[in-house]
Amino acid sequence: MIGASPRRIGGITRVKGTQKYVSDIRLENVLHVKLVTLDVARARIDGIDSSKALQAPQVIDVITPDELPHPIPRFGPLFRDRPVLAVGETRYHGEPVAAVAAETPEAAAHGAKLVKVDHEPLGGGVFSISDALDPESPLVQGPDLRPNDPFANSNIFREHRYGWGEIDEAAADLIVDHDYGFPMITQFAIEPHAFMAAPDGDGIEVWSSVQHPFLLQKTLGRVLDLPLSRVRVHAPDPGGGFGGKQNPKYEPLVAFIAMRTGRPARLVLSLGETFQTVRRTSAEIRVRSGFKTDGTLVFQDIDANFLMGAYADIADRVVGKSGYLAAGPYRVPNVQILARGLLSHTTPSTAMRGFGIPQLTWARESNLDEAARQLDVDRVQIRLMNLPEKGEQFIPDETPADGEWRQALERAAELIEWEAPKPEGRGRGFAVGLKSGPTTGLSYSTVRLLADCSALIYAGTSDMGQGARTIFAQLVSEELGVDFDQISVVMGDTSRVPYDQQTSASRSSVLMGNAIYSACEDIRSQIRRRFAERRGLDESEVAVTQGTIRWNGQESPIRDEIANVLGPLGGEIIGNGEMRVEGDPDHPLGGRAVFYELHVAACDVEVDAETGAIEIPRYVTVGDVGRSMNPRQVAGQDEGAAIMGLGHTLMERMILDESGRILNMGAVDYRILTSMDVPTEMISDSIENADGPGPFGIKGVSEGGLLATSAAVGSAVTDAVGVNVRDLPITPESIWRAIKEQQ
Amino acid sequence: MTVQIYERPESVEEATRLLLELEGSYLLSGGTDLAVAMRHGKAQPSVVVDLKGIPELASSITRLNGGFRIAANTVMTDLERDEDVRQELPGLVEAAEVVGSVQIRNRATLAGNLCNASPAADTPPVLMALGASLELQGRGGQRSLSIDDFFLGYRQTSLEPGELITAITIPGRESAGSAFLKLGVRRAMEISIVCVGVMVELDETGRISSAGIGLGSVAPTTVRAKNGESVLIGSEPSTELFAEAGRLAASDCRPIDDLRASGEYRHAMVPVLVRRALATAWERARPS
Amino acid sequence: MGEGEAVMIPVAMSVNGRPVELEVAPGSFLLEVIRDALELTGPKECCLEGECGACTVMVDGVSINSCLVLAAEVHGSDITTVEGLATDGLSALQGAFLDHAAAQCGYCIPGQLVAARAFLDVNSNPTRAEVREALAGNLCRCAGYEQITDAVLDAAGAPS
Repeated sequence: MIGASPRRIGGITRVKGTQKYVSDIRLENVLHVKLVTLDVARARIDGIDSSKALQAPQVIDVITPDELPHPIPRFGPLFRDRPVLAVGETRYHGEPVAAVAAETPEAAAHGAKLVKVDHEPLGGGVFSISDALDPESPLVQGPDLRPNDPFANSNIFREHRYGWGEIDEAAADLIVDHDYGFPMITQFAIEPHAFMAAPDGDGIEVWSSVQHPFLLQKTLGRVLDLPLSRVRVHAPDPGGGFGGKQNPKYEPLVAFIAMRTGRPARLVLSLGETFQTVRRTSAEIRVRSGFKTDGTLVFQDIDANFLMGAYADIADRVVGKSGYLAAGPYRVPNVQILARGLLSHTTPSTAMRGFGIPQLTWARESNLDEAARQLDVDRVQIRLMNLPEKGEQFIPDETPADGEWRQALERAAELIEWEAPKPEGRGRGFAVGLKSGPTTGLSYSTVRLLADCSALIYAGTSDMGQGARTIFAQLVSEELGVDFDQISVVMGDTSRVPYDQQTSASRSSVLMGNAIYSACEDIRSQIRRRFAERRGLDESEVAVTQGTIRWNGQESPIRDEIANVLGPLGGEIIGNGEMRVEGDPDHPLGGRAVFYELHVAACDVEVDAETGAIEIPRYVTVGDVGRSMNPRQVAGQDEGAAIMGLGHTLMERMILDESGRILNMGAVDYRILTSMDVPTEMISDSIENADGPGPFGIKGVSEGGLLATSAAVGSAVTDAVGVNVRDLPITPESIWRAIKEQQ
Repeated sequence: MTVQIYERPESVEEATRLLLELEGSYLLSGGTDLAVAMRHGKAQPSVVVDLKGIPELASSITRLNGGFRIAANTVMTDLERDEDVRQELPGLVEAAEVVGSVQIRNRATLAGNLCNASPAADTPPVLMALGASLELQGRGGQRSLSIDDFFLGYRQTSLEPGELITAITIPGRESAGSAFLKLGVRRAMEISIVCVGVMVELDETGRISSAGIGLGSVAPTTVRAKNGESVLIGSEPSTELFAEAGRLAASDCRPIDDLRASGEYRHAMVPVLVRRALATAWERARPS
Repeated sequence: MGEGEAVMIPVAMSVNGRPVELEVAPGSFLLEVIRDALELTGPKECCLEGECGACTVMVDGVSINSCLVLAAEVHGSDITTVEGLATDGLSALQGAFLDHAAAQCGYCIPGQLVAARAFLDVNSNPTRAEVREALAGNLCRCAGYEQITDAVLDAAGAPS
């Protein structure tokens, strides 16, 4: 089963249209919720009059801060700063100030228009990095929210400083120093976020398209003052997450409405509202690098500013964790990194595929490219010559290089035909990205081997498209000799499935994979014991490996022995597994990387020098994956990530007006790639040396494919037309402008 | 406001009467613009008058005086699939092919694309270049109107209350070629940064006897680049001539900055697209 | 709201081969009627402006965005949703989607499948470029476009 690509578990319901996403689930007697928001980012709320809304037909309830406990409960995955409803003022366009619950979605929408919010728009909002760094700008969060914080009287949320060695400009033959910009983009899952809550006796049941159901359970328990055992979170497979569905958003609000009204409540966001709910951190990054004339890196000095938004969500972790790896997969003797998170009157940013690394990779790799050109060193060679060998500690006290990374670079160069001549107008680009996987983790799993040798796997992972169920079933099939199609995987219900910390950082195949692997070992040891008992053997005479029982020179598949092992009462064998990565409290990230995702992007582009229009005839993506457990799914992740990366590279950006309103809130003017925008030829490949920490030597995949996309395209554009575009997205107009400025 | 009444008249006269009598009534043809406007609250019809029950508006592409008569409810897909249109009006097909997605093109009508009067619409520039006329019918009976006189301003047309387009006619031409080019960020599902429709007709000597240049997304309405056209007429086709026509066409518009592009970029792209489109149209016009 | 004043419209149609008669509000869109009244939740809600294709259904064999069509407009029509693509088991197209791992999160897949079915009905031997063009109105954020294209070509019997 390892290295096979069986049909996805959960695939049949997906192609028959019977898969139930949150908004497909019908609850009897449900109330429809509509958020009340203001048409401005920053406003002081002077009063809310819900009387007209409450008189409207079919409106059942209007909830304002007055209807919530005081102080207004706040929550967040790291910092509890996000209120259930805006307190005193709105801090971003779309922050809910109230909510209306009605019998129909139309009545709720109508009611929301009737809620009169007496408010005063406050000018001078913080919408950009320069606004946030300006000491004259108003504070996004009051200092009272940030006790004992030295930055409390600024819009700096936190500064993360890392480094080693000493920067010595004199030691470098060339210094390349530029600023690179990465736009505000949004996750744009095709399934807009959906939330439902229903009173359940003296507890609550919640449905959410959430990636971290157990974090949601904990949040709701605290906000609603309920024991975890009274909070049941249903997390049906998300219709795409990409990080945007990791952390709780409007579940507490919907839960309060359900508890107040005693009825189920349902909030399904519009696509536009998701833009006001989640986004990626935008960034401006200065990279100053020093090189020897042969291309050897002497130092890197990286100053990265990230615009986090109005509440911290997980953004500070994005800043800190990605900043730590800002110097990339290179042997750099002297490094100085400052990664700064800034508060702003914009949508709170959260995790998104790559977790800060795409921003930093764009800056660092573009800078490296500029150096290679100036030094007249080949752009692949400059990377190879600075690349650490496997086992080399390229960051002090951090996990050493965990793969034969050189192979990935060489494979990508080979696939893109790096040395082959190119026609006029065509450019070729190459870039490398490195992301660390999880630094801590805790996953439990239960596997039940049933009497007919079919199996049930219980895992708290969210299968949001990456195909986790399939990987887990392949694993159990391999380990217990159970037919793949006789395995069911249970997920998405905190009352049925044991705890899992989260589905993020490309962790699940490794961490939950290991938990499932140990559950299988538990089952095998039980089989061994019982088999020995039934046969009157000593346990030491019996071995159970993968799906086979061996004893005294004989062997038999578990499948054929299960009835015998279980005995006359039948029953089943229950295995429990646990995977724990405690981390290291002294480490700046709280733990070392469990593995790295190293990924290489290479592409050819054709640029129309008159219009700036770009075409991508060929795109190559190569990951160092340890082992490709399911090659089709790995290709799907790598190519999908690359195409997503082409979005922020070529077209995606949220546009704000001077009052902080998002102007392109929806699919018309916020473009993601269509099938026609995909590179003409896409080639994906994996380096497999079985050197990862997961079962069978796997490493995580899923994010790698978009880490280096922008830099590879930028590199190719420069190669084609000789200009550098340092701000994403690289649009036809930005290329045209760069060409014009050069002339 | 929700829709109170859905009407599906069976004649143009009845449609006109309903539109005049019922307050807050909107025409529904393909609905791909109206529905979006309704979803966004930008259109709040209390009455929807669906034209799809009117036999004389039903999709049909017929020959008329060597040209074409395209009935109002002809959808983009019909244009794409019509062999004669493909052969003789490739520019119109190129424009129809990039209207939204297949799903949109299966629904969006040619008349609707005109009536919506978006300056970024794809088919009006090429219809303008082709010298199309519109058959209108309303309270005062029938009239014919040049497409040049149809667009009055941003999303404003010269349709009288109760009046509707019943057909679009395109004059027949010997030795003519047309082309359409669109510049956007995406290759599909894109609203133009600039789009250009052109037509050139050649006389027996190979000189240009008539020409049309329509520009989209560069002004509050689709515009006809008269300056660009004038230099073409009577001239010997050449790359230089097309470039000159492009430069002059740019003087026919003053594009603005918006979410999609700056006015400056648009202005700079007009000559490029016009030149390229003219070269293609000329290739198509030349006797093979 | 004034909903009481709306003149309800009787609509008779065939949905996945089953005759359906119901009364709809004049402003009700087909998508909501299919999902809420007919309880067929295959067609999905995303952009609600004809940009994403998640709500794609066939009306008389032609693919359309059901978010942009009033239910009243389709009186007398045959509607096919993803649920109607196979009477039992899986169609060849659905099977090909599974074989190529084309369904990732799956949310766009009902629309992709219906759009692909309608396309193959008029072009049984497409090129790769034609498939990409035919499905350009169906956004996929997992970006399984290559796998989806392979699956459609496979189902068409063309080499992929």
